[in-house]
Amino acid sequence: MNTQPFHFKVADEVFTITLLEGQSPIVLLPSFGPFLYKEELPANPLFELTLSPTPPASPDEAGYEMIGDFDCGGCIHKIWRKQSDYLIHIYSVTNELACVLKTENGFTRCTASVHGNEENQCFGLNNAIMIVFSFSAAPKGILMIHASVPCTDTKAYLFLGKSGTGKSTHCQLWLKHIEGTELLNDDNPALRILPNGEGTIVYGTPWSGKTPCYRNTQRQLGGILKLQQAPENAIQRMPPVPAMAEVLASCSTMTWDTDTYHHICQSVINIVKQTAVWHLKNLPNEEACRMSHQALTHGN
Amino acid sequence: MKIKSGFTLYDVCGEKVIIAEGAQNLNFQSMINLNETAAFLWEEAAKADFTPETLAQKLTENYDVSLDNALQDVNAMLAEWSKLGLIEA
Repeated sequence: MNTQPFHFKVADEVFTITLLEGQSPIVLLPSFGPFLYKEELPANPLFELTLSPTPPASPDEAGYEMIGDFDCGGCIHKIWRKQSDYLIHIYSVTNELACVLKTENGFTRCTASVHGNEENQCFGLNNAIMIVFSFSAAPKGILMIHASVPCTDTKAYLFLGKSGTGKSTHCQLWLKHIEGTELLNDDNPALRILPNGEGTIVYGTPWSGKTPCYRNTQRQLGGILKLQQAPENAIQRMPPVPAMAEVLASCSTMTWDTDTYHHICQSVINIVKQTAVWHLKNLPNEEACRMSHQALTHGN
Repeated sequence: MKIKSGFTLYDVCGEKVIIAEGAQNLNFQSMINLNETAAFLWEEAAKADFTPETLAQKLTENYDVSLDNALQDVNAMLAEWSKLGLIEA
């Protein structure tokens, strides 16, 4: 059967997705266009994910141990492990099986099958790629983080908070009231922690939640804002330990995978060492937006 | 006694915290902050099996404290860690 390899570059890492004959990248990978990579392939791409017509493995096979069911933003992931390899069933928000993902060799060699209608298949494959990207990149000091990200010409700011706490709303206030700001990503940017305390880079990714904002661009991390709805506006800088807990809670992690989890914890500590994390209690208004802008850009 | 597997001590800007990792600690939600003495005891306890007495001994070697007082501190600390599920017999 003819296969179609596509190469992409996200957060300065190149990876390959190989679709089956007849599978359309426009349908399955609609947000990946800006990240297509056409130059010479590096010797060691981050990972290779190959589509398979049937599920690449069954949890009934010998050696798989159930880790658990996890709610990942309204959709269920069922996870099994065989030594350091994983089998992950990704369900859609309507609880249909969308993707079966098998990972090997530290998430660098992966196989996946997609199921259901086109929308389901796209959803499943995008989730699978995000998982594989997150965990294959973790040892390189790269993190996927759940955040809304406004940026200026030079800096990007991470707005954190659980779903429904107003990340996107506060981000929209910045875009409206703060001159020179634009949206970098609205859901899942990638971060790369540079060595020697040289700061952190924020990258746009093919994953941006409900807002279609798939920008292949990058900025220096300027600051982090944790949002909480409140009857009045107030802002405070967070001490390092609560700041670390907050940033870690917003990252894609698998606490049961000791190796990647250790890398991610260490990366988060490095971010918190170099970056101010602010806690904004806020109403969805212009005053809150001026307050957070002043803190993030001037440190008070 | 020994420290259960899957707990790692991290240094966050000079503060010491314990974070749980691994499948056996899936339900362990929080990070635990340790003061200087507790972090010292944790590092000693993580090296090998221990008793309250061996830890108290280490404490007296590194801090200006009597063995009786050290043992009291260690027992209080171990009771706390036991309650949090960090150690096993």
